[in-house]
Amino acid sequence: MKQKVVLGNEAIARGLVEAGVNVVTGYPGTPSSEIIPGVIALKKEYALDTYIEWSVNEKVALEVALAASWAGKRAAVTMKQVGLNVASDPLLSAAYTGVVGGFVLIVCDDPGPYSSQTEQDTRLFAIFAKAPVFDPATPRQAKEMTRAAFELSEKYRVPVIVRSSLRVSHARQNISLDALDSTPRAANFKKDTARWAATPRYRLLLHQELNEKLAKIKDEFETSPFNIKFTPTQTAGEPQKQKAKVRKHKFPFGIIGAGVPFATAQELLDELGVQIPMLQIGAVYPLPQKLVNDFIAQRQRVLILEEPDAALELQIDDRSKIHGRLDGTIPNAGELSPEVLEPILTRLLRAAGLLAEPRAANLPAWGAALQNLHLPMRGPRLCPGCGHRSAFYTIRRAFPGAFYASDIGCYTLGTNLRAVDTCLDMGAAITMASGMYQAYRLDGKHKAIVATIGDSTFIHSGVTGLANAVHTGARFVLVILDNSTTAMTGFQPTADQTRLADGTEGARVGIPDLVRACGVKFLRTADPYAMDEFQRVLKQAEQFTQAPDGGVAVIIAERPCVLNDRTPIDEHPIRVEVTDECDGCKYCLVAFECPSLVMNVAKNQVEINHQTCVDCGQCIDSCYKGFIVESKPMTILELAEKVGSGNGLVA
Amino acid sequence: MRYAILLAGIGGQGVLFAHNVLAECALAQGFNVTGAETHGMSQRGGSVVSHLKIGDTAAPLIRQGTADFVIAFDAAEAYRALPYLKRSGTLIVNVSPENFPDAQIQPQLDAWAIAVHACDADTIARNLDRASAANVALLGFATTCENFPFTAVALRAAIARIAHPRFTAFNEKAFTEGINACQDSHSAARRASTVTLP
Repeated sequence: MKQKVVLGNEAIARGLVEAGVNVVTGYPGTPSSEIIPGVIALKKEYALDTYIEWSVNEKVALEVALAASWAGKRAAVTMKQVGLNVASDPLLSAAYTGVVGGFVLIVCDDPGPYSSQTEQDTRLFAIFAKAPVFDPATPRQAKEMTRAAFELSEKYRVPVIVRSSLRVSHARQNISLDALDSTPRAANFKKDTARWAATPRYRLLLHQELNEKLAKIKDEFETSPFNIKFTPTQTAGEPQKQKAKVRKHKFPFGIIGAGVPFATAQELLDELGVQIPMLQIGAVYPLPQKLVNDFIAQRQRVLILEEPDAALELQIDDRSKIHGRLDGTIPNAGELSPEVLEPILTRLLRAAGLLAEPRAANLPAWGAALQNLHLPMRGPRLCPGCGHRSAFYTIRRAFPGAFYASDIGCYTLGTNLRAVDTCLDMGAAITMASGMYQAYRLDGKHKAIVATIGDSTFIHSGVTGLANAVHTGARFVLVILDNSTTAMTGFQPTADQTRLADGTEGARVGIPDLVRACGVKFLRTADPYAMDEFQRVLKQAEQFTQAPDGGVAVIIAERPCVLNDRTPIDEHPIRVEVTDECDGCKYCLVAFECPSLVMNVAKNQVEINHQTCVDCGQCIDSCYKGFIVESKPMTILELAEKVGSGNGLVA
Repeated sequence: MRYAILLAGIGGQGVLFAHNVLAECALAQGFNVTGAETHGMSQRGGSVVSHLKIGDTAAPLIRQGTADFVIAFDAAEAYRALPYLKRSGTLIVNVSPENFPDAQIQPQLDAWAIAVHACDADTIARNLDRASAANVALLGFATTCENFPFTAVALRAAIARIAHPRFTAFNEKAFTEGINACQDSHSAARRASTVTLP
């Protein structure tokens, strides 16, 4: 079978296509964003007629895909774990109604967390929603489970979740490329109001029906190929005493695990040369109790490995022999990395007499020595030339003491410019601003409030908050940072554009139209690069919020993402340099915070890193002493060199 | 058999491309590969670390103290990645050899018996008028380092399979210059050697 090295999310995309999926929807979010592009690529490669969309949010995505399933098509919806919070309403209802065509949710968790506001466990959500869930440890398993999820969903007519996680979705592994299912599935919705439009009376019956389905699925999971027992094949590495003990009694120690931590433990045990009984649970809910209880009965102690929470452990009824998150053996927050797992595992193996005490003297640790080097901290920052930076810089200059509500996206990094005070969840910039306004109004106080939200996030769930703010008479400045793309997650198109997911043309849902439709009476569009003009508009907007007939004032800050569209800069490059008068005061570094402004410690002067500088010229304003200046115009030769060197990767 | 290579750098240096080249090369030689990479928020100018494991394992992350190689595209990221190296592991780093390592860290490198190979790939790439080709130059240099699991021929072919055709000429030059940057006494022998996976 042909093999290919792919990203975990591409493996999932492959699984969807091999299962013959007809409709795929989703909203981007790390670590799930590469699944839909993967499906689009396979659609082109195999000339399929799959319908694929980036929906405006996860709830919408789930419902669009679900309807296709009710019509008889195979359908899938992709999102990150917090996206499922948004989509939870239809999910819980759909578990009761059931489905027709296979209906699979791909939800990617983020233990760590690396790019999310929570470490929530989608498997606990699956239990809450009563939806069966698979938990792959590798891209290979993710592909197989995706295919199996459609079979299970169709057999029992339930939504099925494949819970991926960061280290599966962004793992890279070789997978086999198997044949595609090409079974035709005609759209043929069969009316059944007692199910598809069930009133509470019927909902009780549907709940009972769901419970019966889950009982059957539980039985099926007892022999699921994804629940795998590993039995020690040899005891060569074990001490003699231990062997005798094993024969007389139950094996002293075993592991039940799911997902990436299970694979991590397997490798650690392999390195240590220790073999113990292990049980991988790939089908986590409903938990195959008999399989698990039998495994536990034959061991003296059992360690449960899973992340980010205790979905498996909580389903075990007798936990008297169990180590895991609930007894504090495994930390209750953070990624279960190999470094975290190693000391836990070796301690338990030693306690069980399966591992000798360490003999070799420990090598010196790196920590202290590396600390002495004072390595530069490299947190995430807005890119050189990012229009958000100019917007935040000007917002701070215009309203130094304001309350800054912001949102989920690249612009969360406005914290670096001290122009972001809150970041809660998608769309909350607008509602936070509303609530903050009401809180201060109660005290009869005026507080300058500036909310910032991205274009995609505004359409995702900002619009409803804006309608609410206008309706209830809230007063604040809302800056919609419109960079014409969903930048953080990989440049997916937004509804404010005509480009659809697969590159075809759709209808534009204009942000200005949405703002006006919400009843906003002050709407301006401005380029944040034109700082003085942008500041003037900001001031006007703030005045409107205080006017007798004022309200919410909206400014759309239009500047394309510098990574996605560099033409405006390339057409008018402004090359800057720092004059020799620079006194190293660092004001520009703090106030403008551009990665291309770097401190030359030896000279105690700021320099421009022309390797990363995009010649936007925006930093000139940030030296109030006037030491950042425009260089003499570039010669044709220099310009050619600049264009030739590009800004991307060698790929 | 298991072989662990950690790649470290900064967003925009082409760390993931280098990862894909090495993975492709291993696959072409019949090995399984598993790895992990950095996306999203942590990619915005931040440190980028990618884990590559060749051979039969399902766990994507390299545990600290177990990497055979660290390939660092930036000196600061090289220091940061040192704890990943196993005893007698090899560090390949994109920095001028006279500027690396810091004397303060030498005792640690000696205690762990770490072999350090430095190459100023940024300058090589700049001299070719293509700053972003430093990753390919460093890969070329890596093939001259002792115990590196891939030959120059195999790696060159993998790059050609993966990279966009319009970069082929630059990549070829950068890769060759990377190999030529290996100036020490063993260079000729290393260049001729056909080290393959253990």
